[in-house]
Amino acid sequence: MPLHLTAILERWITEFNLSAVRDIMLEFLAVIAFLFLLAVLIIAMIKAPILSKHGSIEMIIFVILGLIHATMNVFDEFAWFTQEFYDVWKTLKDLCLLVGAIILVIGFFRFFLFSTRLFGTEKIEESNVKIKEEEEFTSESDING
Amino acid sequence: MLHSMGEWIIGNDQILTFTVEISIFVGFVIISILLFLLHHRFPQITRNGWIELVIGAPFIALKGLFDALDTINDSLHDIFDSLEASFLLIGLVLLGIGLLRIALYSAKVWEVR
Repeated sequence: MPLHLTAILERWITEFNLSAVRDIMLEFLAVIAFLFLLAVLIIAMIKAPILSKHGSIEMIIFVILGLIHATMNVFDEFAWFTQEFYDVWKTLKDLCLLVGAIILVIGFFRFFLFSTRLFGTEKIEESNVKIKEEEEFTSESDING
Repeated sequence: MLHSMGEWIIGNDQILTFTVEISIFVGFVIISILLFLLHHRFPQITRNGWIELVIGAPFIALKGLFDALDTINDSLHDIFDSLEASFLLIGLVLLGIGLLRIALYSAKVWEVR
């Protein structure tokens, strides 16, 4: 192992008990879940481009920071760091998610403010939405013959 | 009962990590409260997908809480670690489904307006 790595990494973990395998699976699934969330946000921004200026950017930053957090979580299941470095690593890992959470709060605030500007206290007419849904259904039926 | 659950100790070098982890918990609790406010104010636009978000956010908050607990208790570390990973996973899936449903519905509502 290179000298500079030995200062932070004691050894690679190559043997896993059942509990470790379960944790690795769960943490790896969290990485997949963050990727799923990223895909969802991209779809949402395509479907409703107006969202991209009002909170979606913050949500994407949250997902990217969360992805880094989850990847670090999986990585440290395979690497046995020195105690000093592990304390720094764990704090950095958690800071990623904390900064992500703060940015997500800002994103929700922006979405909240935007919704207030857009809708005020006015209620959306349910009937308008239903009419729209019926129109779409009718046009789809027409296309399908 | 706490005695049977091992020792709860925060070392000096763990204070920062513990604080960050508890802050994650607090952050997602704030997000849950904001979601309730959003639903209270705009019941229509939050009609679809809100329930997934409002369950998912406290799940991720609990991830932060268990993360903090596994920092201060070595004997229950493995249990808290598994709980943390499980809550994060379920919370993220719910957040994803909720955001997708709310975005698709919002797109339809904004189109109407």
